[in-house]
Amino acid sequence: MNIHELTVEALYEKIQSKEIKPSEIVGALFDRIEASDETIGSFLFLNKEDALKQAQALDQLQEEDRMDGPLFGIPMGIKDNICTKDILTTCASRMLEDFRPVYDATVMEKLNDSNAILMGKQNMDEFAMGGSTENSYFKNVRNPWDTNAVPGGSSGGSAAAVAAGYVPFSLGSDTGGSVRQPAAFCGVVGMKPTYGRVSRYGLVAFASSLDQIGPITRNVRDNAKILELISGTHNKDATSVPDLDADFLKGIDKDLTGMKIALPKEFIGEGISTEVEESVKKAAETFRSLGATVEEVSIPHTKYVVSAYYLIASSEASSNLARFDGIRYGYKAEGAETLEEHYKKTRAEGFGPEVKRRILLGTFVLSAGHYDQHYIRAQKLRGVIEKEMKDLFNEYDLILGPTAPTPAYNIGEKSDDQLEMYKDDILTIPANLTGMPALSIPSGLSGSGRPIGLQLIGDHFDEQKIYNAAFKFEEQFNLHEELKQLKLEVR
Amino acid sequence: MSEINLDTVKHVANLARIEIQDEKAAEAFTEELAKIVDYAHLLDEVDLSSTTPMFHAVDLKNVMREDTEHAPLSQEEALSNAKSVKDGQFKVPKML
Repeated sequence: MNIHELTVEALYEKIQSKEIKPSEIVGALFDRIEASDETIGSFLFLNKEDALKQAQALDQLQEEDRMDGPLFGIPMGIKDNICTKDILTTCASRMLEDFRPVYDATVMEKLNDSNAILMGKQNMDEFAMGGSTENSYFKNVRNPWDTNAVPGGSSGGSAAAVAAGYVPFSLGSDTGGSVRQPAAFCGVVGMKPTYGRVSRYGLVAFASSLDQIGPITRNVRDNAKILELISGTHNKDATSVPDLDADFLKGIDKDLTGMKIALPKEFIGEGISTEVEESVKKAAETFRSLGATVEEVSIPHTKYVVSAYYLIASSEASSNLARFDGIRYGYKAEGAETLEEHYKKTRAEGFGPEVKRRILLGTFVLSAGHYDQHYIRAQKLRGVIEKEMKDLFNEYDLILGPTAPTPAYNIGEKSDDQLEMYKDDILTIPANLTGMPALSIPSGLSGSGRPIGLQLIGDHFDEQKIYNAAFKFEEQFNLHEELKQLKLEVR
Repeated sequence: MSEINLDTVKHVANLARIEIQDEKAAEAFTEELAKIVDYAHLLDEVDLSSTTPMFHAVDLKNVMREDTEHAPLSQEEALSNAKSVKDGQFKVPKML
């Protein structure tokens, strides 16, 4: 039995039947991480001592048949922008290099209560700004499928760790595609839930009206299970929606006969690679063979979403990141004579170039004379996209498309041209602007053996339908065997 | 001509309290931001005169909670991440 190949559900069953102890799982996975993560770079910090201690305590409970908690003994990795009490939470930034939160994020409270075991904190683009994890202050992440390739981003460490078999699940965060695109690049499953489904309390804020935490897993069932467990409101996140039903595994294998799927022509048009387009068309055929109908539709304003998104997200970021003042926590520059000088030096030395670009852009957009021209118009465009997508959901159950315009590209290939990288987010941004849930699942491999991701977008709070369609699709196509064969070596 | 020039970038950096190390860095930011803002002008071709802005994804109104007592962070915890502390308070350089 190869422990690193097992899913959350398989591990859970083997623990419950006492075939395996939590400490054996944790030990085997740390061995694997220590053997190859120097190459992959998915973890920024390993929680080894505490994880082993916790696992041994769970071993004892297992022996006594007191295995409480829906994730009893299951290891997890957490993106480093989710607050873990007393445990480093750096956002992959020099600004927070030694920051230890004094409280747990809501999702951490829930996962700790489930008796999951924190293996470590995962690498990311600094403050979740980027699409390749090349903006980490500490180190790059390599794609486990091909170590020359980026893992995607910003949750690149979280997706790479799941693909590499370091953890059966990770949590990432998704502001413009940061869970789904790395999941697509790494051949795993990633969900951006409906805005408000998961409490954001304790997620270091990037763009508050767009951010959501979401699970990354090897298969669809695990993803549904983890989202069930992290869903729920918190009185310290007033935008989290109370009293929602979150029973996604129920009916996950329901027949797709009669399901209506929309395929917007803008999602397979200009700028989308031939391989990706073919993979989506093949997936459409698969859905038809499963009894669903797939029809070509249009979301006419798709080409404007990147502009709107970067204006809105950067505006919110410039406001959110104002809190990093070097006084209450985080990096502090030396030698400042006055308070103003202290702020300016601290923020100049603590933030990396991409974070500064976005703060400057956002500050510009919100400054006098530009607010109406840029910010308000971007928010209006957002309303237009929402209406176009809502109209589709009057007639269709799901919207289908690729997750990213291309498979993973090489490290360094795009890092010099921010705008080109921004444009790659065109397929994932609509779900963030509208708050709709969207999932990425593998739908193929490129000629060079890199995964291709398929995206399913649902109406608000319609995650169950997404998981149902994704599960049936996964029965027809998946990369589960290929994931087991990954070598994790520099080629 | 772009709305973004060297002076705009310096002005905005001052507002954002980010020191830009030298003229060369300022020029690089100017070039990069100009490119992004020029691209954003794509939105100009859309008629949005009769559209209302959508500031938030989910329409929640007046979220209330019970006004109950709870234990706040201890002073020690609140100061635990600060680099400069004096007499149980955050210490900062002079304001003026």
